[in-house]
Amino acid sequence: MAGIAFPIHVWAIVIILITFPSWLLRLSMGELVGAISYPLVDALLESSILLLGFVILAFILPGKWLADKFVALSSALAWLMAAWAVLVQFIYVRIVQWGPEKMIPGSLLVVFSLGLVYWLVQRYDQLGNLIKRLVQGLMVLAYLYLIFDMLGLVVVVVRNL
Amino acid sequence: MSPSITRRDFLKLTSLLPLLYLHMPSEKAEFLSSSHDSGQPNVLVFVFDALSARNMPIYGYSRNTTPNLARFAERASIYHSHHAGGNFTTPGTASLLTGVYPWTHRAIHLYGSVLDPFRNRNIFSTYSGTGYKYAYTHNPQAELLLQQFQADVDLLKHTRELAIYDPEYSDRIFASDHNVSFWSEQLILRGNDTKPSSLFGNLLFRTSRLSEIKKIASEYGRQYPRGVPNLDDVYFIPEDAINWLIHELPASRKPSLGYMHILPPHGPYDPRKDFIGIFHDDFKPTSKPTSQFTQGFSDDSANENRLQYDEYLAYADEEFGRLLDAMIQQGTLDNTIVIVTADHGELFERGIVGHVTPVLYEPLLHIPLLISIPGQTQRQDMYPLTSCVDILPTLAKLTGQPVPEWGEGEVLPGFRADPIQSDRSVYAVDAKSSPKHGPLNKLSVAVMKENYKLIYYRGYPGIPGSELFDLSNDPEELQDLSSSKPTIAADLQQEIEQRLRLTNS
Repeated sequence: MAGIAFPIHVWAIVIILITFPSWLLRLSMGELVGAISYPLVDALLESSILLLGFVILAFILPGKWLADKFVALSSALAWLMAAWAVLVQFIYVRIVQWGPEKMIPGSLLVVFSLGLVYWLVQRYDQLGNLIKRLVQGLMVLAYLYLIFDMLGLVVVVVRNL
Repeated sequence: MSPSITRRDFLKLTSLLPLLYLHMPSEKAEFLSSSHDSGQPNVLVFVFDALSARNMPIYGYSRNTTPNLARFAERASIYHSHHAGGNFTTPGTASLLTGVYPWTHRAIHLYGSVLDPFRNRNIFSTYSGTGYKYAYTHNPQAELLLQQFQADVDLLKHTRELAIYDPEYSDRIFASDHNVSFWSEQLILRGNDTKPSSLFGNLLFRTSRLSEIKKIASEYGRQYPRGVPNLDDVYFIPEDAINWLIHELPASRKPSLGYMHILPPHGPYDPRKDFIGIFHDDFKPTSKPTSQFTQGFSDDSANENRLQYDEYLAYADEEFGRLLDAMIQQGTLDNTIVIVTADHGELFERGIVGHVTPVLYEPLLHIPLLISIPGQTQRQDMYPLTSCVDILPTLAKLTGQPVPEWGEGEVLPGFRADPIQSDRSVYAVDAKSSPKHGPLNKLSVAVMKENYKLIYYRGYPGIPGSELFDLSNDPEELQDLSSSKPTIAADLQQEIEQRLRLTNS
């Protein structure tokens, strides 16, 4: 979970911090807490859905395909997907104007890069171990995210009672 | 024997006929007295978004943009010096609905909301008792305000219900926290000022949105070659809202207060195809100096935008004409006070197009106000300075309700026994860069008093503090008199500063 939650939460927190000054103009302190809670809950939801996707795949696929190196593979793939998603956020306006002549090679590039990372982690145990160590280092952050996400969830529920 | 009345005498006497109208027991006087006897009349407040009086022939514009409003004006009181409270939807609409200026209601930001006390201080709460109240707007910013007043509205028709596409979720999933969840949704899915905070979910949202918009374009593209009317992702066909209103008017319980706020002629200017290219003229508006807040538009580009706006306005006017005809046919015009106005105007000069700007020149503030009361058959022209905050107390008076003490407006001339004070000040405020809950430290304020108008800028580095215009001799605001008439400028500036001190304290 730590590996998957990390990029999603870092992105959400950075965007919240960028938006914060404009919200300060519009919202009271109570409203600000509420407004921040929703994106945190969304980050929790997106992390959970992605994790669930990997868990389901791990159950479906043969053990050596994913389950045996679950932490390293799911984290590496999640980070790469997040990197592509961040890139798409920046060039979205251009991408929507792409025709099939650009869209097809672009999509193939994404699929190829995911396949390459998958192969590298499967092929080189050292890389898998490095990713696992990194994920362990992120555990503390993951707990922090989880605490804030849960607080956010409580705020959202209370505000909508 | 010479005749006792010469042709010249006859003409002189004819010129006095309008005075007779004012002196004799008028339709208006009869209506006002009868409205007290027979209970509240029906009221329809019809708002055009971003309609500048400066683009309407009844206010002197050379293009025939609004023939149907001109037809309506023949049986209405026309207010020639009516002003918006702000220069964009949120403050302008909030001032119209609450009867107070933006520095008081504090709906000063794009998609802003009024302070809590005004949730039940508005035209709907003022129109109390047994009246049935309904409202609709195409504009999601105005809808956010209407949702705040929902407790006093019997039927708040959601924007989505008369739109062909409206991908907002927060009002459906988190309705009871909409004022906050709305902002979160913007951040999560749209990221208007930055990127969306959702890394993966927003891509799904944007892909689905894009496919819907493509579908709309292919379905309606032939009818709307420039694009289907829309604002902030809400797509609609203006006819649908007018059709609903035509149906609602006779069906609603009597007495009723209706609020209809249509988006046209607010940009993007996307008229139906039959309105494209209707103005074949070489109209060139007065060239004006470039503003320090210029957006970089050349005069030619601003004029091209003006032409498209005028076409969209003609389309909106035709829809109003359809409503007017239906009301005449239904007989609902005979028992309804119809108030036609706008939330703010639109600017096509000084390098600026639209209304997202700190400037407060007349095309942005000078808005139409036409009021027709049941049985009125003659046009009446009103010239005193008036403001959108005057509509709430006027409605209260017209419907036999007490005029609220908290309002900042006055009962409009024509509906009061005494004349309105000639030295009254009327204000407009743009404070989108100031906090809602705090002192207003970066803003522009226009004060209009007698012939003069002062635009005061505070908190904009490098921008001169104020501009002064004599609107009676210089309606195009070409001559800044702030240095040639420093006393008047100083007095008006002091008046604004006093109001700001009061507001900020």
